[in-house]
Amino acid sequence: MLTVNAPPCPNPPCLKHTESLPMPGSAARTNTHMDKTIMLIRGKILALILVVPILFACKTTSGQNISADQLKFFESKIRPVLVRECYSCHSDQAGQRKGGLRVDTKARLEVGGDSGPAIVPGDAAESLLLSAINHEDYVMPPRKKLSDREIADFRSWIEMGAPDPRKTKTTKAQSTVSNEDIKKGRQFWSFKRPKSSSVPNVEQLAWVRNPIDNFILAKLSDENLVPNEDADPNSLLRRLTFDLIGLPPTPEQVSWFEKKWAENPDAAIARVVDRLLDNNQFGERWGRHWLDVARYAESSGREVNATFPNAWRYRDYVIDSFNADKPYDEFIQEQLAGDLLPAKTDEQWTEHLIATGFLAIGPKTLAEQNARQFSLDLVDEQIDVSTRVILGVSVACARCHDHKFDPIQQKDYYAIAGIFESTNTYYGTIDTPQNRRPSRQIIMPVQDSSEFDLRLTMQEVNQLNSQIATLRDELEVLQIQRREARRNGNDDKTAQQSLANINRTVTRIAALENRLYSVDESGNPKSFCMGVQDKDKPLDSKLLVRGEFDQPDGIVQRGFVQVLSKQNPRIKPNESGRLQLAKWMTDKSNPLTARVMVNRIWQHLMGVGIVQTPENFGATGMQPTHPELLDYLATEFMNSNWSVKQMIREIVNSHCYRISATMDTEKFESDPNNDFRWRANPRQLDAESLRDSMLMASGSLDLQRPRASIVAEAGMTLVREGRMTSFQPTSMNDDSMDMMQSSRQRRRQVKVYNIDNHREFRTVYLPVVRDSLPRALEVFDFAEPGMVVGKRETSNTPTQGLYLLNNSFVMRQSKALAERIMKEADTTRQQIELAFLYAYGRDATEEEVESALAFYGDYDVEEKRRRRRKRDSDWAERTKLKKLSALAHAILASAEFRYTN
Amino acid sequence: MRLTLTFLSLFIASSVLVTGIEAQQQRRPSPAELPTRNKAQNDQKLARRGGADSARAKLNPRSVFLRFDKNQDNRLTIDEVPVRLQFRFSTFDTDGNGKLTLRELSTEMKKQRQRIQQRGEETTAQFKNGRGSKGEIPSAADMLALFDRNFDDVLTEAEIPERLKKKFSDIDKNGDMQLDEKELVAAVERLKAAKQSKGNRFNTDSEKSKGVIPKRPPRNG
Repeated sequence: MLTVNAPPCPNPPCLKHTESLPMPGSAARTNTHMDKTIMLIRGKILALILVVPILFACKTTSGQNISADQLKFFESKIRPVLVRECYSCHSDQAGQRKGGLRVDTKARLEVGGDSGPAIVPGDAAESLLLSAINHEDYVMPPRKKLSDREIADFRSWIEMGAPDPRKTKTTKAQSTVSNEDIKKGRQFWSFKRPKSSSVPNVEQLAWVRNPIDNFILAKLSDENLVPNEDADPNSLLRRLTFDLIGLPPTPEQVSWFEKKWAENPDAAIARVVDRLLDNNQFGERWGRHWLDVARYAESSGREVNATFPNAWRYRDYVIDSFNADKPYDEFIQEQLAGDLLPAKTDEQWTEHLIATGFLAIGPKTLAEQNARQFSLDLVDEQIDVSTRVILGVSVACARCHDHKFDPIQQKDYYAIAGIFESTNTYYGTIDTPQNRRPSRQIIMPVQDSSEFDLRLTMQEVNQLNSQIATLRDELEVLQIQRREARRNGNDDKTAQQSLANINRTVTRIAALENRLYSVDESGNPKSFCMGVQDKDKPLDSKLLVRGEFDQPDGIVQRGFVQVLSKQNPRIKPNESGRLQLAKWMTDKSNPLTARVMVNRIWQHLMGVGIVQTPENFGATGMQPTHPELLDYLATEFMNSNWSVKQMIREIVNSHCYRISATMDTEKFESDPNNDFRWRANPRQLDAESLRDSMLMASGSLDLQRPRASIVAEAGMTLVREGRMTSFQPTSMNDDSMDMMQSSRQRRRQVKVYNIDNHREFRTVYLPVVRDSLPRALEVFDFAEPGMVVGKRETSNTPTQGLYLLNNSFVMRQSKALAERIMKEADTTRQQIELAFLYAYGRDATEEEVESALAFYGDYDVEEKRRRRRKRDSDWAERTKLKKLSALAHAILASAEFRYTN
Repeated sequence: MRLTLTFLSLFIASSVLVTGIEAQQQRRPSPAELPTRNKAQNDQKLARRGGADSARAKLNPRSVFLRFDKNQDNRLTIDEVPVRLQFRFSTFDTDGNGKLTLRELSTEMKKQRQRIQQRGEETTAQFKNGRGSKGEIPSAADMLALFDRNFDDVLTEAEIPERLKKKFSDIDKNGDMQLDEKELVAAVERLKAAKQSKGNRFNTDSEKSKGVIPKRPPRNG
């Protein structure tokens, strides 16, 4: 018999066999009674063959309570349709997950995709899958509609609880880090609390200025090395001003310092340091160091680069905090949990809210189709930045498995993930079709609008409202047209055109709404900030095997990293635990926080950190060159109420800070990396210092902090090819919002902001737009704003040389410097001497002056100018300017200008 | 030449005559010109054809009455009306004699029309076009008021417009080939939920542009 010879169905039954089964209707169509009987028997036997392995499958693989009837229903009515119509775009088998959705297991259907769960077992009305196959909002399958019978089958299936034997193959998370490993790991140098060891005794007491020198000198003596002589006062002053405020010294400061240095070097340095620390430029320099590690930027980056128009508030908060010498522990707490910290006044509350922007300004994949995936990536980024910046360990490595090198279990990652998953992150971004994950922003309790902010008259508010209403009607029509076009099966070109029209209209509505909601009902500007808030119902996170959201393996209680914390935190059910996390990170018992920060300070002043991997204090990081010194500094830091300025003061007042950078071959052979600090490290100016120095030398630098940023001016929009476009409301009499408006009219409503077009304020206030940095930053190793950058790269590339020779900004500054020296001095010699003083912070040597004079004399102005000589009365003046500009250009592009010794 | 002219004039005259006869044959009598029963049949034809007069034709009380009056005694007994109407029979039978006259039926239908009008011409017009001008989804009650042409509080596939027919099987949950109020309410809710679905990339969400009011932390720690 056919049935006997037929191979049994595999487990679970394959589609082919299911489809080849005689359906009840097919038996009815047979003509004779005999045929009917044969078919009936055959059907029963086949059903038996089918059901037995299925039942076996139910018990062994699925473990679900699926009745035989339900299973039969699924296998005959549901699975074939899913395989035939859906798998090609939504399954592992096809390698596709369009819309973030896979339908090849029950778990995946329940998790859903971009738009949420595809099915809600037992609730057909809530199941998007049903709505999609009904072509209500989505149109699935895209080019046809399932038959009424199939749709009814799906409804029945969902209403019976969506019985489905298909299971995601989950593997249990296997921990490779045991409790014993964690216990042992606590003995690792950086996981032990810093101990204040006694200051080593040294013989050269006269050399020592403070205990730092004892540690340095002791180590040098052990290695049979002696430190270099002191640097000359000009180099030292230049080093000090660049290190502390990021600017070159002024000629007045140079002459004052030279004089005081001759009298008492220690007093001269102490005085300069105090003055520089009190200067507002200090925050701009040191705030920028923090912004490097906080991956500060004003746009989301990646595929859909949406602006963060209120990120600048966080930038200003950081700068102000450094200027105010805010204790570092408070500074951290505010950034991690500012929204939860007690605030006596609304002003303080506002400041704390802005601080939480730290968690919101990270890069984001706004095109992510799956909401859950986006949320997990956001949390991952927050964990990564918090732990690497503050603790110097990469907990985020344990997202998919236990940390490979440090005793950090995957469980630790999800303990912290629970804290951030219980937090809402508000980062704004324009709501356009490209941006699948827009968010709101926080309304600041204290508004700080200024004359720069957009203000609207009531007339303009009404006009915006009517424009938006018109556009919404337009959108409605376009959507109906598109739907009709799809139903009628119009060609792809028409469909694409209608989609483009819809995209454009949605973008315009979003832009105008952003403008409208940036003011209150009366048209006065509202102030927003980026930041976080606790969720109403905090929850523990699920441990995800391989970090995949559809592979959960148990719930992990919220907590901290076990190797750093022996006790579980006390987190109330209605709390996220973020405040506890912030307090734990800044507790004096935490072995890493103070160490990591003092190491950063040391690195910014000395060029190289005591631990040369500032973000990695773990097993794969480098060992400290001076562990006792690191502990001493960490302890001092905590004892001085976490004062950054005090720590800087102590380091720059040490003797080892002021030694020269002179090369010594013999010492070099003993310590080629200068690990023991026998000389100062010559350093290349970073992008900010270089640009600021040029502006300073040319006398064009505007030291006033600009209001906000060019990104804030452009508002919420998308960045394309280094430009931001902002839609402007049309004028009252302009009735051009209808469909018939010309492209020219449309262009008039758009304002373009160029990222490279900026005024001459300090470089820290330039727009930091991910993937579209200003040229002045991009060329000179600026910190990649998508990453935590504790130590910038230092490169010397042809593009840098070409920038210095050809960029219009450098040309302008050269000319401005030439004009300045021409104005302030009469003779060419004096002018050259002045140029050297402004640019290098020192007097020119006789040899340099002679060389510059020769250059000046030989420099040939353009022939065209020479021919016009007789007619041009200012020719001599202009030729001189031209020649001096060329000389100034050479000085600004020189190596000395770009380095500090 | 004269012969030619004669032929030509005869040809023209005959053409005019033929055209006139054809025109006479093509002109259909208006519903008012037809006998009573023919009028009803004509209404039903119009209704089947669809178009602007379709709804009006189906709502004609005379048409409904004659359709049910099988024995043509100008009275409808409870046995003559379909089961769907039997339960509302007492409402229609205002004199309580167990029989419906055309007047009784007309009065009740007129009341129903007034109720539709009270719900607003705008809603009706919106839904007649298949969609509200602002994309509003009509309520289940509006749908019944508009499409339930024979007043049985359910919609059959024949009663609903083409656009809705595609969704008929989806809305008809119990599979009785009729849409009752419960099913319509559920369908409307589904439509609303789908419209508000976050996943629709083309739904601009004004709320996203507005801000979040932060929760006030304690003043003292």
